[in-house]
Amino acid sequence: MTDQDTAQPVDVAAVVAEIEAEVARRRAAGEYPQDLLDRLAVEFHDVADERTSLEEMAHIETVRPLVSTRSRLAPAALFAKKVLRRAVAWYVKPIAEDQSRFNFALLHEVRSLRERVDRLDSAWSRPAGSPPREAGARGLELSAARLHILDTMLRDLPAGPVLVAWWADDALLQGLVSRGLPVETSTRDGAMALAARTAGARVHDVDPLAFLRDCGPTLGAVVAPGLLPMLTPSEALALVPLAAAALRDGGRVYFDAPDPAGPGVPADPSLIDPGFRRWVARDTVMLLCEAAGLREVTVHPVGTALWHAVTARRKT
Amino acid sequence: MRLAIVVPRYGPGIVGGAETLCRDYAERLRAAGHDVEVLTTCARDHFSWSNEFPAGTTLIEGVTVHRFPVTTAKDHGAVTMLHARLDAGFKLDAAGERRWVENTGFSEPMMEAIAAVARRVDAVLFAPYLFAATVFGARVSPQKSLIIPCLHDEAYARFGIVQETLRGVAGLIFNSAPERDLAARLLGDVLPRNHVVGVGFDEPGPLDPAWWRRRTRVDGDLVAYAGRREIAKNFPLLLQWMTAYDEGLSHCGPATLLAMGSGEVRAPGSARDVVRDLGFVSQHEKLEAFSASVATAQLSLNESFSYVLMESWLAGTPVIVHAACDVTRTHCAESGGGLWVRDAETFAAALDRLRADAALRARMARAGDHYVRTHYSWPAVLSRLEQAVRDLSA
Repeated sequence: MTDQDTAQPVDVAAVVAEIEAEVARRRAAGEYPQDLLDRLAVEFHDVADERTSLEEMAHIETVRPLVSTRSRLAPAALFAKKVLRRAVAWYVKPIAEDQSRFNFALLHEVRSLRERVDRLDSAWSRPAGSPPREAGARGLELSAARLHILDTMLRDLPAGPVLVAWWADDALLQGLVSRGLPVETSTRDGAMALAARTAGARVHDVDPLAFLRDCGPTLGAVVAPGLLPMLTPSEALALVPLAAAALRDGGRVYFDAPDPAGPGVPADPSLIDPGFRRWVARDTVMLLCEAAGLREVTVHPVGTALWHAVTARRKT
Repeated sequence: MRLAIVVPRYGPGIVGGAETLCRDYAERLRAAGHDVEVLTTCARDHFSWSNEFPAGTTLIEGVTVHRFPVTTAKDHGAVTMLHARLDAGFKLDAAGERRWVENTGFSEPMMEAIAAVARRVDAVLFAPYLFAATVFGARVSPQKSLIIPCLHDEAYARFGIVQETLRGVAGLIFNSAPERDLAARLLGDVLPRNHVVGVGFDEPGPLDPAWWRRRTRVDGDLVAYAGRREIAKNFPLLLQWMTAYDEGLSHCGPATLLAMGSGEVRAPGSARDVVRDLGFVSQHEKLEAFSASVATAQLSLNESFSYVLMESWLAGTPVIVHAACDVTRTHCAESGGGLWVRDAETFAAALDRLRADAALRARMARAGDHYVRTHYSWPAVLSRLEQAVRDLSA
């Protein structure tokens, strides 16, 4: 190697590019032992995770390592500290134990609460054993009233599937399919998927929010009857903009919910449907649609029931 | 110029990048004929903040140092609670942020001293950004305050109380251009006037890698690491990649990782044959270890400058850094002295390339050395620092 060799400048970006190309080639050829990388990722997981666990923090130690910065007097100072520590232990230790017990009880409660919140946040499925009874008003054929609104709304759709993001009554799905619309649904609920397939709809086996997030602007319409009262606030806030973004230009959305301001409304929305968690006012739905950039936001009464529907259109 | 430097801990034996930087600045500025005094606390340790040094005025390497006692004793319970919130990904409210900062060595008498000293100096320099000495101290006389933030992309940098301080001072002095870009992202359109200065380096002196190898009894190809051996510096990731290299990714046989610095090397069984733990070593020994290695690896993402890169280049060794760290990647791209990698496979391929190609290694080391001497020699850095202080305090 001469001085001239080492004096040449190095294009390190080109070297890095060569290395990355080489790695890509070897990956494509399956030359890397993936089991080795997977195993090491697990082995080093504990090494990397230096965050103190809540359990460790909850447990209070009355003993700390004793140190002294005095070089000559260190042994005496340490001895004195040990004596002091033992002398006060009868008083300090029970207090620390009480506090640890309290911390663990609190931690247990926090964990239970977290599990409850996770459960509430996770499921978009029909409450077990609950037949669809969301109408809440006997004698009303809610699906027929919805189809009446949808007949008008879905007349001038752009090409693309009609995604039914939720339904309580299979008659709605059957009615839409029988009108010749390309109906699709997205659900992880086995019973709902079976009902949808039986009705002649195409089923995507993913959570509706995840589907809307990934499908791109391909849909002709998003129909979500009775869905908003079932959602957590964060899901409800996410749903409308995701639905708007998933529509083709000119596509439509449909949401409906029982009207909390109507006469004779029960105090608890779960008395209308066991899956309902909260009231969703028509103003709230309109606001969500407008905030998502949708146009032609319109409110419709749903038959003679206490329900209202909000429809809107995407126009760029 | 008459200057004051405020730093929470100061003196020989105090470890930390910003603390070392302040000491270097103070001593070099004084040697260049400027009137410099340092205001600091009596604390030695930034975990306990207990007052270990006596309060009062002393002379350290010719620099006048005023020490003030920490008057807000650290509330360990409160800090643990706040840390738990931050670790869990929550933000602190304004009261929580204030409480956190107050627990980082707050000294009431030092605030009074800053007010007094600001009247008689041209500028007061504060470093680093996240301690009470800076967050509260720079608000005492903001029109004379210049902050050297040594900024990292971390939760504390998003504290409202920190950002208000950074926005309100006369100027900011950054260690690198990517650090300035990070500040612009964090502070938005209201980035105060600023300069990029950086850190200076001296000649490393004669290094004898062969003698160091004999004395340390290490054989084969070495990869050096120096710094805190902890997750914040991505040290566990380096251990993992070196182990993967050793167990199957290498095309040139095994290599040994030399781990130098503070902190415990927590390695699972599979990594124990790969790493040689040298513990805390002297500056000269560190440079000799660099010079005996085929590469120095620095995978940390939390860097505002990175001393290690410059020291490695001065010792004649190229570096390998993480592609996701703007600061270290920019140093490598601008100098031609280092390669950046994204995962275990590219790390292995880069290391193989350096081990197999001695000419490339030498050229990269030379390019890095040239970069340090051009941009980070002490005369160059001091000249930029003097210019920055003149501009920003005008």
